[in-house]
Amino acid sequence: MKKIILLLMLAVAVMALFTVPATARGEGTEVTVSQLLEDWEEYDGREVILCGEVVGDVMARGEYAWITVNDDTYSRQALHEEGTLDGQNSGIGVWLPTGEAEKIGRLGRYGSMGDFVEVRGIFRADDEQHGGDFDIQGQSLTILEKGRSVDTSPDGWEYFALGAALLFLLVSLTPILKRRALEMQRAKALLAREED
Amino acid sequence: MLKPTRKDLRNIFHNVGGVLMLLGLCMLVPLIISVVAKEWGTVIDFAISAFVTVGVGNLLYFGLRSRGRVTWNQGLVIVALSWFLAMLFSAIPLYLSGHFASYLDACFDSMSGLATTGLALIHDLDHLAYGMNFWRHLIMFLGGQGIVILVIAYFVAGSSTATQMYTGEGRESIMPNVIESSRFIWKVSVIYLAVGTISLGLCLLFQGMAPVRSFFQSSCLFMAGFDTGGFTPQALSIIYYHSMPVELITIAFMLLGMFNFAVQYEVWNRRPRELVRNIETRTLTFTVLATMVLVIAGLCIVGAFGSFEATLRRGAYQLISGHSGTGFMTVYGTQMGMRWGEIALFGLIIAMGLGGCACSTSGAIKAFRVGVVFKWLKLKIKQALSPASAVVIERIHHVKDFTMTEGLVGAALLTTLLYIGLYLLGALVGLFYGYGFTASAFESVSAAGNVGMTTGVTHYTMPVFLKIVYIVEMWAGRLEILAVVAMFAYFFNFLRRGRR
Repeated sequence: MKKIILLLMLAVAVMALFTVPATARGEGTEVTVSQLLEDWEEYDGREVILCGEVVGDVMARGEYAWITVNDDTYSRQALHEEGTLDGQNSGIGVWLPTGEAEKIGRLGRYGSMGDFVEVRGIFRADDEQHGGDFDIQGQSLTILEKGRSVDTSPDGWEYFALGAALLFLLVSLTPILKRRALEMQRAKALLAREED
Repeated sequence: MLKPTRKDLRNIFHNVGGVLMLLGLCMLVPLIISVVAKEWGTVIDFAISAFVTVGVGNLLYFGLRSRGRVTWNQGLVIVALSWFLAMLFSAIPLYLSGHFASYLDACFDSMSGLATTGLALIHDLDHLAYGMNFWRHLIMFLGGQGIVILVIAYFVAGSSTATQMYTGEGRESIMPNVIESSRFIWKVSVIYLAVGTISLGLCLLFQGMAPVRSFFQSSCLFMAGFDTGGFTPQALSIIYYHSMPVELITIAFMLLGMFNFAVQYEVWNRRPRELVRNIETRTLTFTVLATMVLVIAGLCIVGAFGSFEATLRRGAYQLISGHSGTGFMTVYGTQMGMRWGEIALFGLIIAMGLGGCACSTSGAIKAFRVGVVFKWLKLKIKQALSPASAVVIERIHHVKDFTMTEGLVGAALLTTLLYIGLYLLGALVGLFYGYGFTASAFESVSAAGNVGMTTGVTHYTMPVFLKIVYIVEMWAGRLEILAVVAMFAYFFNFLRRGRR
């Protein structure tokens, strides 16, 4: 019985090891894109872990694919869902095996929050394989949170503004209509004079 | 200076109204894209903006009847004012998108687009709607080809009015008739747009992008590249594509955009020798090579890249992008500011400050003026070494041969000095706000030369006054300064002397 309990405990421990984020296991350093840009010398050639939203496209090129991972404010809170404006996007290209890239279900675009992933790989500040690219040569990708759609339907005030703008456009046509009416009057007067 | 009258102002605003109506109608293109993409919020944003813009254009165009011909100074004012109002109205849909912290920021991006600069304050570009993203690039196309030129090409009846408006936009006439010239520019641009979109679209398709996304992004990239603008559909600029073929195709777009349309017209008419003989292409070849040597040498000295191949690939791309005034980037701005070293950045600043050809979509001083100034220096040296009685002349070739005159040199020197003054002014304001000298100079030249590269100064948190300074620099730089100065002088004169 003791052996069974010991085996079960060992199994739980092994399972726990795989469920704990890689950072806790001490494999690689968790970084942000800003850190990579500012302290590139420190991280160049080291194994890093980057967490963020996959945006744009998965560009498959043979056995590998390019993806872009953004770790900015918008990767956690969609701008169109009460998100805060916090500047431009902050992202980096990740070159990883196509099999890993195929795990991605949703990409971040308008009306869509992409999958929030954890990417493990080697950071290259000057990737010789890709002509001096600043990228991560990814080894694995884990989906931490699945992507979802974002509500971008117009607010009530936008319909009101649309109505007001349409009204303004119609009012602005008044000079043309007035001119047309004047021209018609003149033409009629001319015709009447000619008939006389 | 002649006293402007109410009649003059009516004439000016009548023509500006025409430009606004056209701008409003152009908003229907992204509106249709938004309908196709089912981006209903964006559809409403464009509908509001189009109604307001066409409405104001209607009021000005039909409400204020044009009486008499447009004079030279009125032409300048029409162009400068049209650009300013186009900025205000193009910014409406951008602001309504919710991706800008303030209307001023939306105006910054709108002027950046129209002036084909490429500096941006937009937030979260990677989640921007297709329609809105297309609008950002379309305003570059409208600005690069000259929205006023479009009005001339298809709406202006009188050739006198057309001539004044055409020259106000800093263009030279390709054909004897400016209306024909404008139509040629637009016809060629539309052909290039189709060919460019298809070629880059196919390339992106082979690079692993989905078909619809490929052709959408290629059309945006063509408009931004050919019009030497520099906006991109994704926040990572050209880095996003990680592709040598994409870099080569976008280089071709930039080169097409930076060459003089008059020279292209000659080539189209089977006179390719013009390319070799023309003063601008010769000057441009020299300045591109000289600044490229400077950039590559600077990168090698600091060891920015591990291999010469990477140094050449990254250095040459940034150099052509900067020299053409485009602003596409294959390196991060921060990376450039931190790792490229002073020599390479100096080379880029010089390249950005010189710009492409006259009558192209490039901004900055331009190769023609640089060539004329070089020739003038050569003439002065020749004169100094010749006997006092000798008559020394210098001939230049630009479509046809002509002798260099004092007037031509004076005009070239004046505009060159005005640009240098504009670059220094922006750099000075940057310095006052505590930015470093290289960063301030880089950003100022990038804005005034309508380039769009950044080392990180352009950010939504930068001071409001600096944003306004950069807007003015982009506006003045695009119209070769004179039109903007003339507009301010015109209105100042009108107010100073009172209404008549």
